[in-house]
Amino acid sequence: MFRPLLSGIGLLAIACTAQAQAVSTPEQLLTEFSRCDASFFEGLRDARLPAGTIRLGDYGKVKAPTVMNPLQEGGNYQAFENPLMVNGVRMVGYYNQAQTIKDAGNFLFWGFVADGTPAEVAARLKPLIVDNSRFVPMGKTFTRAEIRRIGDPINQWRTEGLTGPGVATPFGFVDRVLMVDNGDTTPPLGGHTTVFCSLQGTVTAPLLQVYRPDLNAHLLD
Amino acid sequence: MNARFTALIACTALLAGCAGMQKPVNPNLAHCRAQLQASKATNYPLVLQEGDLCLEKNTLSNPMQSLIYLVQADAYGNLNRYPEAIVAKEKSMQLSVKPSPREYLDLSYMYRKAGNPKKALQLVQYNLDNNLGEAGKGNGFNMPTYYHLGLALNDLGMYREAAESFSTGLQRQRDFAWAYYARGVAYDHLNDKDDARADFTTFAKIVDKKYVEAEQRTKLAEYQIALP
Repeated sequence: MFRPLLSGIGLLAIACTAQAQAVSTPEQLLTEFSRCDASFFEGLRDARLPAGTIRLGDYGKVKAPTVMNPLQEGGNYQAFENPLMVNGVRMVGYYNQAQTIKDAGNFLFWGFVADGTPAEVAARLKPLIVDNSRFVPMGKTFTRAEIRRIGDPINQWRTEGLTGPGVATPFGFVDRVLMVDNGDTTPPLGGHTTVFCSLQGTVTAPLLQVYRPDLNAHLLD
Repeated sequence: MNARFTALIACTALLAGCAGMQKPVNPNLAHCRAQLQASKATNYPLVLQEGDLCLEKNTLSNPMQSLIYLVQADAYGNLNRYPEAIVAKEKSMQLSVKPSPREYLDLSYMYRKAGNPKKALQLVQYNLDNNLGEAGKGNGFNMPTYYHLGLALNDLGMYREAAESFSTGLQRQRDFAWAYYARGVAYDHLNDKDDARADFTTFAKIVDKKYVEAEQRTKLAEYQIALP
């Protein structure tokens, strides 16, 4: 199930220490989101977005789209009252899921639900995505993937020796992926395209405190 | 403690070898036996004295020399003479056919105690880079690796990464009290007093109190946590 650990580590580290930008357009919001770190939630704190789109809540020092409970199936989705238009893409909702799978680690997914096919959505959003030269097609999806080994500096991600699609993240590593993909077959994601970030593998509270300040860092302990 | 454990295994192996001899061919081997007996008796100055004589007066095979140096390293460590412990440990590892991943962790501990956390970190990373888990190549990593990784990171002031490392180890072994203490220290430095308090409280509940020293007692007192 697990592929051999990274062999001959070719370390291409990226420091993702972007400062949170003031978000005043949906396009800026998508750019902050695409970092797959705290920037999105910090940016929402003072964001000026079209009224009647995303419903935000306060989570400590940041804001985030509200969902009932990331751990609860059926409670982790917010349908927007009105679509949020991002560079021509209709974003109709937001989801925030967290779960633990025995022997495979912790999984967090958060992001938008959009109208259109993955190819159409990816093409329109790509110019807004940070480090978009690594945002590439992979089968029917579009991904930008990175991996961190426990002990690496907290903001440093490797771009080589990645875990392949469909392969469990080895213990002691965290995969981070930005992905545009088909939604589930069932509502509310069914029939839509998802634009999401994921953290998966050995995801711990000290990591979540940095990357997901909107969550209770201990929700998966 | 790790070095001591390894040394005890070494002693057992060596003593068994000596016991198998009807009469020592070379009476100078008595120094080697005396070293091991002194180690068992925790008489560390005598360990060093007899170990030196054993090495000086005999032409030992590489594996035997490796064991003698290993016991020397343990004794130096117990006497808080870490620079000399490192020299002995490294000689032991050089003479060993294939040093075990666990030995790199022990050496990491010694470098840390000698005030060189950077080298301590590199040694744990060597195991990680080469997929050398505690039980051998390809067998995965467990608490010992992540505990030593976290300790080195703590000493380097990388408290977030240290806390993450201890948390990873705790996913493998939930009942290792010292990982809670060390993570508490990391959280304390991060000014995350709630998480630090939670970890110190767990530590106080599950630790074997006979090993708790003044440093830990002081930290618990700072948080007004009593050892039950």
